[in-house]
Amino acid sequence: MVQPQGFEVDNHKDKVYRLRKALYGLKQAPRAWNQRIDGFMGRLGFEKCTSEHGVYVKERNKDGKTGKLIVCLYVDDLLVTGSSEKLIAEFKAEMISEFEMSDLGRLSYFLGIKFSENEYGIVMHQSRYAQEILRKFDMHKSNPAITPAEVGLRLEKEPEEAMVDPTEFRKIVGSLRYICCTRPDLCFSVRLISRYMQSPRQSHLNAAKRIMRYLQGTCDFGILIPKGNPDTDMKVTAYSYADWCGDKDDRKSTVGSIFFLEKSPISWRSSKEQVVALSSCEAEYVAACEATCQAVWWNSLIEELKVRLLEKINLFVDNKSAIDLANHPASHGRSKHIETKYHFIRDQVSKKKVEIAHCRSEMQLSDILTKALKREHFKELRRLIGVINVNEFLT
Amino acid sequence: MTTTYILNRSPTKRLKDVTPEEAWTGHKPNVEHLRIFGSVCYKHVPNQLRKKLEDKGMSFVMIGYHPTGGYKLFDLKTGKATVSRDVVVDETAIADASESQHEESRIFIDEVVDPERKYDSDESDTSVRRSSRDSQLPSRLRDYDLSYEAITIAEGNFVHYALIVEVEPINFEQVVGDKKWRKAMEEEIDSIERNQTWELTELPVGKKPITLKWVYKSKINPQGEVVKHKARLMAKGFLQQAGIDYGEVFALVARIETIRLVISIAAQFRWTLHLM
Repeated sequence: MVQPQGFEVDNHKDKVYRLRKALYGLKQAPRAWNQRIDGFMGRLGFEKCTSEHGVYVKERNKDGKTGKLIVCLYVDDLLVTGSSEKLIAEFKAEMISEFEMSDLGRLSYFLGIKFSENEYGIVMHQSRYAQEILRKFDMHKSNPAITPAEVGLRLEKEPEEAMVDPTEFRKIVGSLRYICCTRPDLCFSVRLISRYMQSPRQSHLNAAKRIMRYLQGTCDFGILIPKGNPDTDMKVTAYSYADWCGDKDDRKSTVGSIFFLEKSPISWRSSKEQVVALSSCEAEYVAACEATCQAVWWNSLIEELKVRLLEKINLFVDNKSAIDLANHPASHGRSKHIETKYHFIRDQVSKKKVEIAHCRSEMQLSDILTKALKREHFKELRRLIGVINVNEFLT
Repeated sequence: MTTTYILNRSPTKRLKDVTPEEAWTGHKPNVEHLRIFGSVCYKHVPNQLRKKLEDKGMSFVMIGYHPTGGYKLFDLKTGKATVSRDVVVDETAIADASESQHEESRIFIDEVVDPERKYDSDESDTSVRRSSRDSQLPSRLRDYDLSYEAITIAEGNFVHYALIVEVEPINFEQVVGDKKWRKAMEEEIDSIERNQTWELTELPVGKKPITLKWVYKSKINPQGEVVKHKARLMAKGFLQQAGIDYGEVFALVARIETIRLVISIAAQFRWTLHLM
């Protein structure tokens, strides 16, 4: 590397520096940092989770009591939590002495997400980011809409329609994707418009604008993570649902799934199935299988975090025949074509990792992730999946 | 418009030996196409638009230049401006609006001559009809403060906006004599030396060193005051080649789902969350 401008060493103008460590801007810099902090965490007695490499756990027994510390790594931002303030303070002191780090105190703003806390729980929301998006796309003076999409909205490719600026459209989709971090109620609509990024048409842009109009009225919404009772064991519940033939272009079904740890929503997803399902039962079966994969990952991660879970993960499906198909390894004429990989769910059920249960369609919370709902039903489900107005919550 | 066009191609008091156009683009402006303003000119009428015995040209008044290389023409009869490249300009004849008006009234004897429609040759340049529509700026210009031609003073010199805010320098040359930035750079070098990041050696034969760049940043407190000057030495990582200069590059980050999980576990156990 050349000598820095203005700081050349006299008499050695032609010499260069050999780097022993990484410097800002080098391609290796992030990797080098990660190796460094990984090594240091290991020396501090932390265990790295194998199912999520950015998370470290440390457990310590002292005077018969177990103390625990969990650290989430986001490049150079660290999220620290633990069973006692003392442990956290000790850890922070060790980090500060090793690295030139600053203690940012209690969690309030992380990755563009604001955390508002009171005695009942924590609300994660991105109201500032939402307002920024609206201003960026000139929608901050629009009239708010009550739902993010018209009831029963189905988009198609519309090759006949007028093309809109693809770059602008992609910018909108990209900005809205990030807001889905704290907004499961938007997830379906954003997913829907993102399918048309390749060649957006006027109707797709209208749908995008409708989402922003909905956002205009719900800027201050976020997900509620209620505080619980430390003595009870935790439970993960999941809901999965499929909208058969959701996409009219290729006839693939839309799947939605949402996971709750106790009452707080921890992950959700709305996407298109990989295969064309012949029946709604098959669509639901595939959806349940995909939810199972996620459930298995949660299981192993929570286990690694050394948190005790109450029994197995409960997966709620509202299609009886799909449940039967998963519970009984029988082959029927109408299900024999289902690809083998989707029978993963049977394996997991027989190993008692997941339990599939029936729920009524009205209580199917992942409905909101698979189709555009009616106003009242939408509001009700939105409340049930834990999306609330942060201002109402704080007052 | 035409005035600015010509002013930009004429010498000014400020610039020695170059015209503003040349100073800006680096090319000597071509003045071959300049014609006397207000001359009579004849625009070619394409074959498709005329019949055999009709005139091959129409007379117009030259009012300006168009970026495509054509001229802007003004039609005295209809009061409309057009752009055309197929033009012959007769610089000896100055357009006389009243004449054409006469001609017109001679042909159409029945037409009632409206006194307001009479053009004066002096006015002909200002009487171009301006659009009454509210014009909107193109969206790409929305981020900038625009100054209009009106801000050019009489001599044609452009009045610049004074730069009010303290700007962050962008290269080393700008800060070379500045004490506060010098101090910031010394701090950075100091920190690199302290971490024993590098050692001085000879350059291996046939190798190219990675170049560096200083990046300067003023840290601003919420009151908008500059609290700290920071200099950072950056390696130009884009000059590195995969496989030769580096192998693995990724850094691990926690998934957003995991972060939500950890937060809800913390909420469940009523632990506190901290950030570093």
